Amino acid sequence: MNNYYDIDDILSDGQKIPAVFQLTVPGMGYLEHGRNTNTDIKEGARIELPLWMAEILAIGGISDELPTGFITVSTPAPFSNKVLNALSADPANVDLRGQSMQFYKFAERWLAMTGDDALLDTIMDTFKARAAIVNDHAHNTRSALMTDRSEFLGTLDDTEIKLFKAAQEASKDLKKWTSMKK
Amino acid sequence: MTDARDLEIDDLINNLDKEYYSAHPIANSAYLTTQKSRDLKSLVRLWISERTCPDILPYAHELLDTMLDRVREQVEVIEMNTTSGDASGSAKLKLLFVETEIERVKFLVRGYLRARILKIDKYYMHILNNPDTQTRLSQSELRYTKRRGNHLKRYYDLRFLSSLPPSLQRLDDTTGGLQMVDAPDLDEVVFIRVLHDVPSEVDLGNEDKIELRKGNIYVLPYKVIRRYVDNGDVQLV
Amino acid sequence: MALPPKQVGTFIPSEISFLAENSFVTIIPRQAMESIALIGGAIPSMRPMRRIEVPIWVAVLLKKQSRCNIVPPDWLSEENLKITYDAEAANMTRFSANLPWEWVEVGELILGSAPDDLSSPPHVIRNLLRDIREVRQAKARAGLKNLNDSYLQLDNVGAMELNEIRSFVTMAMNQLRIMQSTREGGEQQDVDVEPDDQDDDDDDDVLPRESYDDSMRTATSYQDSYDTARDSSRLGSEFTGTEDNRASINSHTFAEVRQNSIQNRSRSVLPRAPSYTDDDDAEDADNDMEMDETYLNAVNGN
Repeated sequence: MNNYYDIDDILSDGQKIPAVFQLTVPGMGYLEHGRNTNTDIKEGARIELPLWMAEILAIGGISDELPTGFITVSTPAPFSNKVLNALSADPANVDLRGQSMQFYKFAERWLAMTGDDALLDTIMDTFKARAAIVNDHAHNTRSALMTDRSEFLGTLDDTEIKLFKAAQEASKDLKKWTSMKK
Repeated sequence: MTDARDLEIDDLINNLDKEYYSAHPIANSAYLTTQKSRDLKSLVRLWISERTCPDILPYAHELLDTMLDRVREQVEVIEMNTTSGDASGSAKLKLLFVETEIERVKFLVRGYLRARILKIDKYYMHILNNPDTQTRLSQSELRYTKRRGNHLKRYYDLRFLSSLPPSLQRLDDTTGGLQMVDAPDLDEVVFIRVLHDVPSEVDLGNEDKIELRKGNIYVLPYKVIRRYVDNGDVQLV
Repeated sequence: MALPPKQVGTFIPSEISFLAENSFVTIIPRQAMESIALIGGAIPSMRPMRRIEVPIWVAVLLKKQSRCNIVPPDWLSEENLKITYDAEAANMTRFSANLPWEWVEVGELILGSAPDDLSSPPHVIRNLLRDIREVRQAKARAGLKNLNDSYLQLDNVGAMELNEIRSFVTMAMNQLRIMQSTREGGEQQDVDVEPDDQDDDDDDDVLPRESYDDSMRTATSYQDSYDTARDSSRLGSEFTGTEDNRASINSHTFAEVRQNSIQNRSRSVLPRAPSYTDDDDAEDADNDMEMDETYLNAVNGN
């Protein structure tokens, strides 16, 4: 699923996950304060970690003292209830790009980590609903004109932009070929 | 392909063709009935399949050899005709058809090989690690793959790998959730058309089952339909 | 040299058209010509006015030299195209079976090379073809609203029409499939998630453009209407664990809405794959097949 050389996968690796340290880590305070300090990360410290790091540190059961792993994670902002409720209400009207440029890739990784099926359902429904609108816009249909084109396109995440480009390219190629034949 | 075998297959196919012609009286062309036309259709099919299948399909040695032999024969025909100096209208017209068709066949052969090279470039490490996949390549494709692997390895070594600790120098590391080797994803969806009714339903591995009835067109994961592609019940489109 | 990126995973229209040129068309020769041996078989000898079938590319070359007339296929007549248009417009959930697999390409090829051989004025035929294209495109787009991770059925779609949606459908279904593979029982190492308790502090400007209160009401009423008829036992029990955690923090409206929405999202409400066939219309299907036979045989290696 995760492609070593894929730039989108690499970018999604860097998405931020809110984490709470379950133990004090000596000398690592610079992660928290972003400076060269000799302080420790204190137990209970809240730090946003990149996904690749959070993934490793959050795995529980490494030892008896650490049933929950070095950190506990909480839901990243793009998958917060607030966003999910808005997505359930009207998927077309949410600025996904504002949430995360790699919204779906990020979701993939987060879901693989947490196995949250309810979240998965919302994300999949969102993808389906928005993909159909993306397709309409790529083909410049009348129904697409109902929504503001540039405004909607500005809310697409990277996966949706790829979809849009693929659909638009196919449509353009066919139009070009047809007019060539005339 | 030997002549004897051609005849045998022709007999079989002729029976089918008779049925076909009784349904389509206008299709009286000798063009349809020959082994040659079937070979060309196979080449077309091969090209479509290689372009649309996520996996690398077995190299079609025999067909490619046959088709390239026939291209050579036609090139000889052109040479004979041009040296004989026959400048009549009908001679020119004949050459026009022969040359046009050679270009069409070359287009298919080239397209077929290029579709394969695309996958070979992408999955070279997977191929090098899998003797089974290697058997699907032609000799020259395999040579190309090995050379490509060696060149890349040497280049990366020279540029940066040699300055890393040995444990980090591998290009095919698959430990600890790391997956450096890119392999064909057989779960990718393909477009297929059903050629023959399949009696039993096909289980898609989730909660869905589908029927395969002649003429149906589906989009579904290659993995669930692969065996029907292999046995000719469905074709990639 | 490998394939240009544009042709990866799909075909360009000229390639689809190239394939259609291998299918057969009837011609009426205007001059005699000896049989010509080709790689893919022989062009039969021609006698004036005696109909034969040849591949379209041969027909187009002969036509350019004024050595033949092309007999347009039956489906390309004005009368049949009108019937087809009506059939397409009458049923917005399936493609009619009146057209062959390569109808878009063959239509273009014949209009382009032999407009004078059509029995109606070319612009009439062209307009009919365009109208049929548009009504079928609308159906295809409507069908894509039922995208899912499992399968799509597109019976009677044309080769060029299929190719037009190929990249989009492939990418979308693969994305859904990858996400679906994270569902419970996958290979993932599950990590416990602390409840989401910081929504109140979030900035509203990253959220939907319409009033948030409105969207919340919509969400709630949507959920209410689906409150029955759902299989939430599995999700329900799974939720209990989270619920306990949630009780320990400041729970608020969002949490309640979330709970509702979780229970509503069971697999049973996922949309089913669209089908463009009437399953019990077997006789109809047989007829379709006969119509398609020439084209199937012509373009495919069978």
